[in-house]
Amino acid sequence: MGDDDKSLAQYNHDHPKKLRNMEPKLEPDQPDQPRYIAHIPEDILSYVISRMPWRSICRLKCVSMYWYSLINSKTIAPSPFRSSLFSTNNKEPDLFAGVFYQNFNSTEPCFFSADKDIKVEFITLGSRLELEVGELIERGLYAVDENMPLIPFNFYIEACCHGLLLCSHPKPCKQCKLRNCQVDRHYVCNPITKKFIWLPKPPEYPHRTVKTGFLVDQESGHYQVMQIPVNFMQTPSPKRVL
Amino acid sequence: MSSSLEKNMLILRSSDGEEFIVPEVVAVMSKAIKNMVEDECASNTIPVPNVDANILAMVIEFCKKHDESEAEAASDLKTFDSEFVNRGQEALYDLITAANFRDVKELLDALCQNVAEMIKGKSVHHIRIQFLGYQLFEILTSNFIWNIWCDRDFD
Repeated sequence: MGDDDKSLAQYNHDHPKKLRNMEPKLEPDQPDQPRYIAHIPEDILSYVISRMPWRSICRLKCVSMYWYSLINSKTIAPSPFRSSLFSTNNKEPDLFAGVFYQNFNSTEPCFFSADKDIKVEFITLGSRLELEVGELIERGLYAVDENMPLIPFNFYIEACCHGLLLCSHPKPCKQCKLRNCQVDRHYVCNPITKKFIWLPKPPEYPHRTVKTGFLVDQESGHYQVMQIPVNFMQTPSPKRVL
Repeated sequence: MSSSLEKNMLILRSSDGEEFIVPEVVAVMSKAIKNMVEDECASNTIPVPNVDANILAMVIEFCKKHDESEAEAASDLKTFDSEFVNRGQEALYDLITAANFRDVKELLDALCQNVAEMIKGKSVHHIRIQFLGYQLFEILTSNFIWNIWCDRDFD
């Protein structure tokens, strides 16, 4: 009972009354009024929203002020960090397993796994993790595999998406005769199965830095690799590579 | 306790007066009813206010299926779930309200998953029209943004 009181207090704290009044057409009063799904109680709505992929959640912020504040409130947890409020026994689709970590210019990426019992509050799972190792350990993460035995060695994690990694591996350039000229070849690897595919050679952008991104098309389910040549004089234009 | 429970039957009365006879094991899948039964404050007939006969029948169907097929393959149950929740918006709304109010966790889970599948991948306009009940002309008029974002008193 005391637990209920506590959660109720937390609930009221996160949802001040003005937030609840934001939706103009909440709660249909007459039974013959059409009932829309968005009018379900807000704790259920936040549960629904938290079951969506992170990208959709970001888009849903634009739906209305009410949804915006609902998503920004603490009750919504993106699927990897789902709150234990509604934790279901075995139906949790995706649990946060850990992060890949690589120092700047380092050639030894590590994988840090999160202990299931330790709550991870916030970890960026981005392309280049700027976290210190000590910080990770402080947050309850520990290294599982110091050197991931991936071939070829000496690679750099450019981006990751849905558990696949986009890595670049410097190879000596055959075209120009400069001694230290290296060209990044990219490959996509699945760290679980340790299989990898080399990507075809990208179009060349001489004397420009190229930023590479890795994304999955929600509609078709295909993975796409984009390259954006960075030129300070022009606006970057994305080009589809694969 | 459990052996005596299994033989018992309970009568659930919906808001419009229709009565359903269900085994107690099925009825106690709703936490709210379970609490009532455990506290022995329930007589034979349990009123289920706010839930009409149609919806109550659906909920009972769902609970029965889940109770029967506990030992069965999980994939069967999954297909049943996905077919069960594949309904119109109003029925979904009523089911969610009922499941939330009566605290039927499995049903609420399946329903929320379905709603999430419905909403995700849709455009913002689409969501506003289909799920929030805005009209297209409302959205297209210029003061819609004002209404939705700015016309609030932030005290």
